[in-house]
Amino acid sequence: MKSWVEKITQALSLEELEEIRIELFGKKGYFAREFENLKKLPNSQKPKVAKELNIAKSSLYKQIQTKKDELLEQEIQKKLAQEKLDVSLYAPRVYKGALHPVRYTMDKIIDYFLSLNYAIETGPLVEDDFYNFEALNLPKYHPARDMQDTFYFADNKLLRTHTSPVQIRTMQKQRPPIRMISPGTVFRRDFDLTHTPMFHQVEGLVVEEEGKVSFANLKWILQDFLRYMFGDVEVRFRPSFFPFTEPSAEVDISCIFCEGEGCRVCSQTGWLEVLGCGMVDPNVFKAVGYENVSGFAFGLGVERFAMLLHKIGDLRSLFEGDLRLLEQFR
Amino acid sequence: MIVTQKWLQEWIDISDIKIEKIVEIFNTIGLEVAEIQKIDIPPNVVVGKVLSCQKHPNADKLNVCSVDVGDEELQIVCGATNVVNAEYVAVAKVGAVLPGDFTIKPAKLRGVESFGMICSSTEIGLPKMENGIMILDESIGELEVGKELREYEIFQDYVIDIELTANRGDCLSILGIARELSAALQRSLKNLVLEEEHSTIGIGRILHIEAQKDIESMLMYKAFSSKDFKLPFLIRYRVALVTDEIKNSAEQLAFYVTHSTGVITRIYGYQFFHKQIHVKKDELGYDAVFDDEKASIVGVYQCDASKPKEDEEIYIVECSYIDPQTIAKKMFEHPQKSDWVYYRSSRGSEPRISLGIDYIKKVLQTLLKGATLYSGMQEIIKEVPAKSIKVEFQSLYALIGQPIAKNDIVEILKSLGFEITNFSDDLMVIQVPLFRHDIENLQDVAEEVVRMYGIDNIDAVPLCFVEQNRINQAYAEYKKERMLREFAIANGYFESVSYIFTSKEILQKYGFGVVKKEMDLINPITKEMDTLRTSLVPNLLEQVSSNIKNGKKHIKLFEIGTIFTAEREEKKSLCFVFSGTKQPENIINKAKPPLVQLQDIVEDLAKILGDFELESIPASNALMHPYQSAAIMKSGTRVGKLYKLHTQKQKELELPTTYIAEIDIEALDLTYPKAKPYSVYQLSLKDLSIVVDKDIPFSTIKNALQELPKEVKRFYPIDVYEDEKLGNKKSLTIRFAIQSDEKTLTEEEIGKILEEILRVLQEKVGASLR
Repeated sequence: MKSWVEKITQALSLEELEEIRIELFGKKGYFAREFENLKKLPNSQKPKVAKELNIAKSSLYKQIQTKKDELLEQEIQKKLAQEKLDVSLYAPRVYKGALHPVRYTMDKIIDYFLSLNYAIETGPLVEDDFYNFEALNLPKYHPARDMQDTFYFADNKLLRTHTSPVQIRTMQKQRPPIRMISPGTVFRRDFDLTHTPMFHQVEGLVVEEEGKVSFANLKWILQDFLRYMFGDVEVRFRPSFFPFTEPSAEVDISCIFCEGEGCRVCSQTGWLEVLGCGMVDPNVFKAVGYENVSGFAFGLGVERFAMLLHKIGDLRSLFEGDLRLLEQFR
Repeated sequence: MIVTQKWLQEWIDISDIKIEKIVEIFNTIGLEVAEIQKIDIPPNVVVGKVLSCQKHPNADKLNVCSVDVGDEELQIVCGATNVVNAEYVAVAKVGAVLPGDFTIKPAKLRGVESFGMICSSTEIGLPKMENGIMILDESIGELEVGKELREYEIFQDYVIDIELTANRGDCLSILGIARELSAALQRSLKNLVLEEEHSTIGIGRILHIEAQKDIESMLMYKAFSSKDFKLPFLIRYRVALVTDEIKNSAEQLAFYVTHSTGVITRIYGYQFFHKQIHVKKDELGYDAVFDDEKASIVGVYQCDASKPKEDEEIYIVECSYIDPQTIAKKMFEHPQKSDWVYYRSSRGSEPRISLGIDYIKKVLQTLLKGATLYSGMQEIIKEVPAKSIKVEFQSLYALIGQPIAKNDIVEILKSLGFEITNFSDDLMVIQVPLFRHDIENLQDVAEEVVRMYGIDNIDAVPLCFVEQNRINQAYAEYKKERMLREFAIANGYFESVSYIFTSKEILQKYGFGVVKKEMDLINPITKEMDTLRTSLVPNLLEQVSSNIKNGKKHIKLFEIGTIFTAEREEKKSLCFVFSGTKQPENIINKAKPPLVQLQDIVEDLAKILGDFELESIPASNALMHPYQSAAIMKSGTRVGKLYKLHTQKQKELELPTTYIAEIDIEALDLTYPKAKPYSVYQLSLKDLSIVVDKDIPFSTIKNALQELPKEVKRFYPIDVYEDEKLGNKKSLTIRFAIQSDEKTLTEEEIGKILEEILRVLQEKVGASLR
């Protein structure tokens, strides 16, 4: 009996254990033989020996089962060990791509105004003088109209120099109340370190009945918008001039790099100019035949926002599809 | 617009206000300060008096000067030719450190010792004034030999560059800026103090003015005589701070008066006129000043012939005004060359032209000692009516968004030169000062109030509005694009933005259409961008190429942008480029990743666009591979094309294997997909290997299998091979998914269906079982 227990304990593989099991419990195995021998015993001894045999049988059976589980577990462990990998070799080498920082910034801006129930409006890139200038209170002889800055076509059309023509088109198509943004591409004939012939703007326009829209409303939404974009910044309004708004203002935020201390990015002023805005000039309403209305408008350059938010130094690099830049945004 | 603290001081007392405060005020009232610079002459630069000046014994171009610098006399070798006539000069003594870290040391020049340097203006950090050394005079204050220049008040100054907006012609002068400060500080302007005129000769003795009736400008003339006309240092210096373009001394004086007062001022040489000035319309309809010849066009330019000559003795001063819109319109209709005056006249110069006359009188009396004024003036004056604006307080408040005390409004407007001609509880009528061309309506008045009241003092208030559904076509398009962009980046593509311009030559070389000549750009910015793109591909390929040059081997780019037709119609396009290796190098591919194959980009596109099929098409431009070009078909609609870059072009552009997909976004239908009932019974997959002609594309076989028993749910190719034994045939294995909607099919039933498939294939494409 003892020797069987030893045998089971020392079994090294499932096969060996199976052999022992057959030796013990097989048709010609140990217990088969022992029970056969039982018949030869006198009846008085039979119950006792049979009981002892049954106890031994069930005990050995249990031990084999236990040993089997143990060996199975060992086998799995061995297999697992064989599958061991140096996971640190497998750093990802394929990633997702990335949205272009300018388009991503534009998305972020659009998200804000969509959530405030502004409509998106779009318009053609090839415009005419009326929509790009005339209707925006920029008559042909206006000194603010710099001819050098505009791309012209042989048929006197031009590439829009701002997204403002969309305001005019939208006002012509719809009636107040209007609340819209027009994100899009614009063009100026300028190409140097800080200018590219194409860039992106988002323009906003709100028109309501006369007396319903005020400069204070304009101030509220731009403050809120700029804090949504740049975090907890100070927002400063400076009176300025645009032909299509009056009163007009330029909007600065406290420098996000030096927090107003003065650095290279903000030219030591502590402020970054980010927006132009104002109350829509009555001449613009006149050009689209609106009467007794009030409204505000604002416009921003998306590249400027993107460069500030992502700390991009070179404007021109944004249009080169250079993966050394783009890969940084995934 | 350049002003300086000390120059402003002529018009308004700001001596007690720190420069930082002044800058802050300018910014808050809408005069944006672009730059501020401190005048900083280094120590040890002193007033010197040239006692003698002799030719250098060994060098023709050098002079050996003896200069009194107060405590000593210095021998200084000087190379400037104008030192010969100089009396008072700026001397950098030994030990002085000039800008650029230039330390003055004793030196030997061609054998002669020199102890210091006689300086030009730029050498001590001032703007360039004249050629050679800087010659000082009493206009800077009493000349004390040996006194450091930095101790003179006029050099303890700040130069402020204000970026003026186009509407503020009234601020194009020192006086104009001083007027703004006066309103902001509630401090009055100084008056010009003039001496009595005691000249005996009247201007009438030398000059007559004759003007045509239709003249639109106002003009005033004054004359003075001066032998040996020399501008004092102060004027030369201040002009140099603003411009280096005016060389003629008399014109510099005219500029100085104009820049100081805003009144357009010109100075003519009397020799040009024969006692008579005619003001009349010229051939283009400009107001012009003539003798026999044209002397000038009012507000536009002055002919060189009428500028004073070296030997001039009598000078005619002209102050003028012409309405800015009148002159700007004229210039637009009949473009004309112009000088520095036009910028001011077209933005609105100072209409009170007598101010200019008074100012030059003052300059002549105080600074130009040798000059004698002729008494009296000649003038052509027109009455310019002042504009009146009715301001209803409620409208003003509604525009601003809050009420502002009426007293404050009145104070602000008065300090800006407005007159209140009528005032009641509800409204006031105000008269606009003549110099404010830009003020026309309530909104303009609101701007004046807002900028002086301070935008900071207006509370931000959210807008109340009525809800409205604002989801429109543009929104739907934006959402569609945004979804495609998100999918594209999820599949490893980087979004690119390139210019809508491209090279016409390249478009033509690649066989793309170009915008018709009569509709094309006429003023492109470079040759490489001389037309509008008709495809996104050329610019993207260029970007791929530069990425390759930068050592990138696995390139996936996409762009959504506008392209144009030959008729210049705008269209949104989506383009993918997959170039180089299928994957980046990694440990599994042992840094030898395979090159991209058609299936790779097809799978990417399917993950972005959804299900589609490819149909072989012939190449329609020079970039397309003739045997790997496909139309992308989505539910029977062509939505774009996919092709391999032509081997030849790939070589020319030095690119690795490259695939390109151009998608027509509009054609992509992203409406709700509709669900159909599906079978719940056993599905069997059965493969059929057939032999067909090599040239039969799979799409033909697919079309041939259009009408199969309804149990064939779908099929797709799983293997294709060709070898010599097959000759001009190929072997193709197709897997069929067979399933009934009503029951589980028996093997026998499936066998029958396969037989039917084979029959169709034999009949329609001549296929046989392999």
